[in-house]
Amino acid sequence: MDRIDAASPRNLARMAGFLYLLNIVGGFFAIGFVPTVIVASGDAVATAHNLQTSELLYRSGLAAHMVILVTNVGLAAIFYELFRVVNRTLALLVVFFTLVGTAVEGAGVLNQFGSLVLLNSGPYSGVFTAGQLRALAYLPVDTQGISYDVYTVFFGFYALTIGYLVFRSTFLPRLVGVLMVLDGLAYLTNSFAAFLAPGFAVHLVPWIQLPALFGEGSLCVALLVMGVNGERWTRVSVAAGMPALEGDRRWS
Amino acid sequence: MELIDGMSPRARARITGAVYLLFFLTAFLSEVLLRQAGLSAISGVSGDAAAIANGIRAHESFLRWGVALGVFSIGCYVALMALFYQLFRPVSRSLSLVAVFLSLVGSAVGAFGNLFQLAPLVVLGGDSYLRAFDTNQLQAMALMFFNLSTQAGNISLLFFGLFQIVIGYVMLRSTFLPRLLGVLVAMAGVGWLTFMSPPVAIHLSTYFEVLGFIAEASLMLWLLVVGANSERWIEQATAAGRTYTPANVQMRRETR
Repeated sequence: MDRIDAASPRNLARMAGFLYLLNIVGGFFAIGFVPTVIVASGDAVATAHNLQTSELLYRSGLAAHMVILVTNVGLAAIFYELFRVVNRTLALLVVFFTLVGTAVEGAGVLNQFGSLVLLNSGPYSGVFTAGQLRALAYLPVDTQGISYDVYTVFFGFYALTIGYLVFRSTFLPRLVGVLMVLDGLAYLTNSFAAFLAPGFAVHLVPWIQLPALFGEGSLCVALLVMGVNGERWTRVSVAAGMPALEGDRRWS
Repeated sequence: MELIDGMSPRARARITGAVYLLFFLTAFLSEVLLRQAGLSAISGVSGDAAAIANGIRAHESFLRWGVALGVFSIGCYVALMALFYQLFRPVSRSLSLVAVFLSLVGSAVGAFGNLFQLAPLVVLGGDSYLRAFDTNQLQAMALMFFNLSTQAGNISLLFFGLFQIVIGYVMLRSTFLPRLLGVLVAMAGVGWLTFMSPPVAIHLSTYFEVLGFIAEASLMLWLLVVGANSERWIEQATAAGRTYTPANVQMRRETR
């Protein structure tokens, strides 16, 4: 028996909830916590010092970030299975936005390794002055924000799409759908404000991040605690004329 | 009625055309704005780093709008790929999937390139830590970042070229779109591949850019104005033995 395909919709939803939880916790650590310890804003000397003295913490942040990337891919596959019965095209869109956003995010992590490469002993210190090396090592920290703004455009579109699907699904609470749409709008507002008016975008933080907490937090909790309403899922699936998964038949 | 899935094949094709148009307009406007700032997403910039840096500083808002629209246009393109897959699935599910995946990889590479379009603003931003470099060095770094973004664009062209060859072939085998469109799109795809070799591209790039524009514009306009032939789409889907969404079944009754 195939493990994933044979799972009931409820179990699939629980798996997604678990992956989402890992994703959120990893995000708090990698994006929310580690940078606040390591990065001294605008101060390349202090940041370089922190990078060297807390290298393990910095590396743990990057490792956690890569776990997030992997959970994104798993989530995309499960969300496709769960939501294709609601709307196949939009379920595909959820997958595509997630994959492209994740690829951009992954390339951004590569950039962050650059700081370590420059500061660790290598041939670089003979060519650049100490000040230049620290400035070069600070550059990825500085451009990390741009990388975030680019990939969250795709996650903003993802959140809008999945919000609509949740809202129309009947097997998940509608409120979660509404919160995800707000989450998507907040991501897009933040990114485009950062592209167009960075001075204004600074004032949006941290308020602009609250919808993510409510949207993705509620989706994660709904999936993890309640799963999906399996009976309704099967009803939607039959109405869409889609052959049920092996697990649905056993389950219903 | 359910969004997109509940519509007739023709209506879905026209929505595909509309999203295509949105992509086209935003990508075009993005390039126009970048050129106002003395840059270009299509061809690398060369010459006096100081003059280019001054141009970027003087036209910062053009650059910012250019990048914002560029990222938005990639978002449209990703959405377009989901619609393309749905449109071409009856012809060949696996080839449509291959085409769309190629294009997604290209989109991701292209979107990452947008980072390097904004990085010059960071380098030229005058933060105190950057005083470790003199002005010439910072201007050279700004130029390097920008040209990296063009390289990212060239890498994504490889994927888009392959995408167009595959999807052009699928179009050629489809019965619901004119075959000529498929030929044009596949030829445009071959054209983008020549960008892999700069010496070849220098001589031919203009021709292939024109061909690429004509191919994509005609596909976009055809989808937008004419859509796809619903009856034939359903015929081809039936032959492929796929299951119907209720709306397709209803369409079939109506077209009889």
